[in-house]
Amino acid sequence: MSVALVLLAAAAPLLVALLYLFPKLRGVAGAIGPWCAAPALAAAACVQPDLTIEWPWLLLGLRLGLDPTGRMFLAFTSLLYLAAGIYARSYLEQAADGRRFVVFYLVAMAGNLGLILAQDTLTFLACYATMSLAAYGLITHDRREESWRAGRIYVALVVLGEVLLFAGLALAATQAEGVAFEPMRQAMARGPWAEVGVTLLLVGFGIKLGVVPLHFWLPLAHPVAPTPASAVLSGAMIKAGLLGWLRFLPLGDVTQPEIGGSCVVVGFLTAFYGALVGLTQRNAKTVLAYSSVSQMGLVLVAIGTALGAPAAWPTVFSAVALFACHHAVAKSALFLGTGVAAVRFNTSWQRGLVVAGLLLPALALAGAPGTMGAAAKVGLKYATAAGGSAWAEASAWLLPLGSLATTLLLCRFLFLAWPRMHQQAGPARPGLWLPWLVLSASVSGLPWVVPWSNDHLVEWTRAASQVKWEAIWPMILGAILAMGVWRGRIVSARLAAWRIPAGDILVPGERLAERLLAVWNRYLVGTLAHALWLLRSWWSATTAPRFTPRFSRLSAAVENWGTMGVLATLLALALAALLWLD
Amino acid sequence: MSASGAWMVSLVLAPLLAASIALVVGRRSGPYAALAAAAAIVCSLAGLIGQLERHGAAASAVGGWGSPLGIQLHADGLSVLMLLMSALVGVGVTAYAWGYFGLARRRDEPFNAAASRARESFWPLWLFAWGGLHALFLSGDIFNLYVALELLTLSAVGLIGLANQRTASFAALRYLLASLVGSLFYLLGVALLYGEYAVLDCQRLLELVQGTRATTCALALMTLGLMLKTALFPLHFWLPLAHGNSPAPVSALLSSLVVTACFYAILRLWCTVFANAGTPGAGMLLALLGAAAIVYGSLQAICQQRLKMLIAYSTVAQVGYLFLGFAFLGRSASAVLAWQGVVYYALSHACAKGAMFLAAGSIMRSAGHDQLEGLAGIGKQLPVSVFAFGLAGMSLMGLPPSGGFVGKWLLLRAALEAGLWWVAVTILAGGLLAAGYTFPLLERALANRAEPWVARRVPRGMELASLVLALCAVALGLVAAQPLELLEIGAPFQPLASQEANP
Amino acid sequence: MTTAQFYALCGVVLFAIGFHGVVTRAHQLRKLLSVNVMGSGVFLVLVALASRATGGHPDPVPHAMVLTGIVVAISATAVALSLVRRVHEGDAGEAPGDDAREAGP
Repeated sequence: MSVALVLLAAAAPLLVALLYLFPKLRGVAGAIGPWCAAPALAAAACVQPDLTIEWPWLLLGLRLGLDPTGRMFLAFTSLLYLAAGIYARSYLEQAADGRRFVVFYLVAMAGNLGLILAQDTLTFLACYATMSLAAYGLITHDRREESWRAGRIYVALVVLGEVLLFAGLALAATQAEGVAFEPMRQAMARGPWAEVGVTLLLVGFGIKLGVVPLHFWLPLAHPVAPTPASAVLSGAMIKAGLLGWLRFLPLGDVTQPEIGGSCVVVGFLTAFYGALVGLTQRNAKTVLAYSSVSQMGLVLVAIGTALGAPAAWPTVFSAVALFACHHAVAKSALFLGTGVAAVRFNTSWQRGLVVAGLLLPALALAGAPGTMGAAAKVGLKYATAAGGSAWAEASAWLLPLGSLATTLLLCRFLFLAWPRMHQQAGPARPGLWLPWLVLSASVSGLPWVVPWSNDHLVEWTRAASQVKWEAIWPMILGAILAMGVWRGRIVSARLAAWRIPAGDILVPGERLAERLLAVWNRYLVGTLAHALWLLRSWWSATTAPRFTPRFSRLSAAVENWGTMGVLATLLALALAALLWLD
Repeated sequence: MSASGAWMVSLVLAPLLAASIALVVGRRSGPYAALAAAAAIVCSLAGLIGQLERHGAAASAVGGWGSPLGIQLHADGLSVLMLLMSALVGVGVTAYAWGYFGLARRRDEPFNAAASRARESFWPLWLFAWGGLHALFLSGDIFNLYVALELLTLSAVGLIGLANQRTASFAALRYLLASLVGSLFYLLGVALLYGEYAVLDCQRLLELVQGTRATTCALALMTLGLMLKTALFPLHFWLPLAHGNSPAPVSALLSSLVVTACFYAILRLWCTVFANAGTPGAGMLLALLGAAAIVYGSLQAICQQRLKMLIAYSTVAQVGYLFLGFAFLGRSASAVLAWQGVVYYALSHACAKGAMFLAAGSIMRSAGHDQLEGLAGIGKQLPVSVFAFGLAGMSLMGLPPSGGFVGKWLLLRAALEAGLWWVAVTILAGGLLAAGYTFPLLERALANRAEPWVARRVPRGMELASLVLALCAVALGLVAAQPLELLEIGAPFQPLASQEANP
Repeated sequence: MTTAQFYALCGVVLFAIGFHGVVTRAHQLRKLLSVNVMGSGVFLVLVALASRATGGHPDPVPHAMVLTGIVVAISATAVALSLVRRVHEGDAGEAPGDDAREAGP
């Protein structure tokens, strides 16, 4: 029974996506499409987390299953896909090519759920790649110039990430017995190149999480993607990177203080950099993207702490898992909220409801008491403190500062997303606001509904319901500051108008790349072509033509009989010599 | 003759017989002859695999006449995997060509002498090439290898010439001349080898060959000739022109099967005949050329404006991967793993590249050209072909789950085990570069188009054939265990693995 | 040096001359002829090897190889000639060179 449920959870989205191949079944597929995440949610709720299904003949040995970590990720991921899927149906009702969106959405969902259920390295990687590539279709759905740009940059980073992961995991596989998670983790911990492997994985999955300086795809991709896609992108997909860390890093096993320390530094850097750049943005969804970057920086801090102090791992694990769950729900509620806030509402109480629905997840992200966010923040505090080194002290005063930055950023978001009277906007449909309200409500309700099995989580949830001064002063200060900027003009007009283009470091990066390309063409390609013409002129008296140094023109210099003849002769001699001398 | 011997003979003879029938009967018999040949090939291959799984590697002298005067056939895991590749891609291309060349002229189509000639000549030429491929894969002596290579080359040249344009004839001529030069280098090597040992049989040579001066020269000459035929950088000058200007099914055959077959010949030489004469230094040279090919071919592919030229340059790059295996010469521990990866990569590359060229053919048929600039919105017209192209690209990038991933995974593991960092970096960089030439088409295909299409209809079978091949490339990633087990039959890489033991 | 070795050496020299020709000559027909010269060189080497008698009789295997090689060479030349004609058709006067075409920009 539970085996069937787990299999159905992984396969349902893929099967429904396949239905779209048959024109006659598209109606059916459209009807059940949004509900495809339901089996996964049911599996997360009902299946005991100690299940493994093995098919040794598939993919060098496929293993699917559910473990406690997977169960938690499966729960919030499927909830998100369910809500966003129902939302998407109303959102794209009038769109010309909603079908394309649904197919990409389902494939991405299949990948995302699959990687959570995967219990061996190759299945995980396969699902991870499927999810990442399908998201390309979601990001470029609008087919505007900026969506293509965002898509290109996204894909470049996805493939770069895949390559790094591929390298890191292959490195571990040379030491591991088999490709299940446990032996891979052992190999990561003890192999001769363990540090290299861990670093590769940290960077490879870090791209997905948006760790600075490889974060720039997030603020480009989120604003251009359709709202439900941004919601799952920020809520569920970037958590796949975190799950990757949890699955493969030797956390709680070995001490790697240098790597751990760098992670803490980069994590805090990400947290503050994301928040500060986010403050200068003009688009609500871009602000949310930067907020995701900033929040994931905090996760990296926790992971870094555990890499430095394995003893802290149980605490850190609980904190990170809770944080992921909280951020997923709250952030996707905010994303869906931007879509709802742009709709025409007729009565003032409806608008009041929208404001409340936006405020609740925003408060949760800032860590207001009584929300899952507060519990997550308590957890994060304990986690960094458990590190017990210099980092613990630094974290003790950096975390409240982070909280302050988050509050400011969310005020910025609320200012941009505040529901106004939209004359042209369409009417509100229940398909839009119902799933959104459910998500918003679960931000605060979920921690008290879920039967936590973990002692830490029970304790932090209890702590979150109490109002404590040291927890709320950053929020209050942030709110006052924001009010001051908005009404009191405490910042100069020039500073307030300051704007960093979305994708910040990408802009100078692209300029640098152009320069490098010019240098490469001028010196390397030009010289190479000249050398080839010289070689060729040994044999046949041809004069070198005028050559514009560009790589595509190099083919004329390489691909002709003369060059081939000279090179073939040289190669034959070299081969004979190497065979003879060795 | 043993049962496996009969299956082997049938694998070679069936396509040749069908080709002769198609040639003599002419008219519309071609497609049906090809169908019959395909059925016979699939059955014979299944029979051969069954026999080999039970009894291990097999050798057979056709008609009781073995080497040196007769024909010696030999089958082990390596040949079986290559035959499997040829059967997969061959059946796919046959199905595609059925739609591409059409059984008969459609009523709305004006009469065109050249098109009608191409329609008739394709089938016998392709069947001869198919027979040549099988003869090559099953050949057990080095002179028959030469004959099979020539049979393959001549039919391939004819196939390229089918496109009735001057560029195609020019490309075919260049390919023919380059290929002849390569064959003659090979033949000179065979002559030297025969002069030294008076033996042509591969297995006997393995026992006899020592690193004498004549052997060294022979190995260098034969390798160089085959490198020219495999289009290893920098000797690839004929490939982009030939593969970029042939009719689509022909490009698919050339890029996926013919190039791989020539590589197979090199591999066969180095891992059986010359297992005792090959040195790590020479292997390293070949692997370095392979790495250069990956970089050069990929960058050129990224620069291309025409879709088919892009795919052709991608072949230049992918051939490089096959040669990376030579870096492991003399490292017995990781060599077998590396060669498994290389062969698996060759197999999945053949499927992926076949799918790519077939999809490109459908796109060209629909749009009337293959300039990347003008292909915006083609995804709406040909969703299946574009999807096939994307899947194939995924395999070339080495993203899981795909055959390309498994091949690269094995190769990468071997490289890391052996501490060959530059090989590992090249494998990974090649994946990144492959994304650089796959996505431009996908992006244009998904884009909106302002002006309406004046698209020609593309037969459904063509689109499906490319999709099936692409799915094969993906499926090779899902069921990797069985093909890898097949490869173990007769332990084809054993001579390389035990190389250190008897230098 | 025995006579056979001398002939074999001549074969190798012919082969090298042919290779030089095919690489440096621009005219397609000259390239084709050069390939044939290369072929003759190889055949000469093979025939020279056959004289290494086993019991007074020349070895028949290289002869069989040469015969097969000649058959291949003839068919290849025929195919090449027809292709040269097809390339040449349409551009009267201009030599059907290979490298002339790629010298471009």
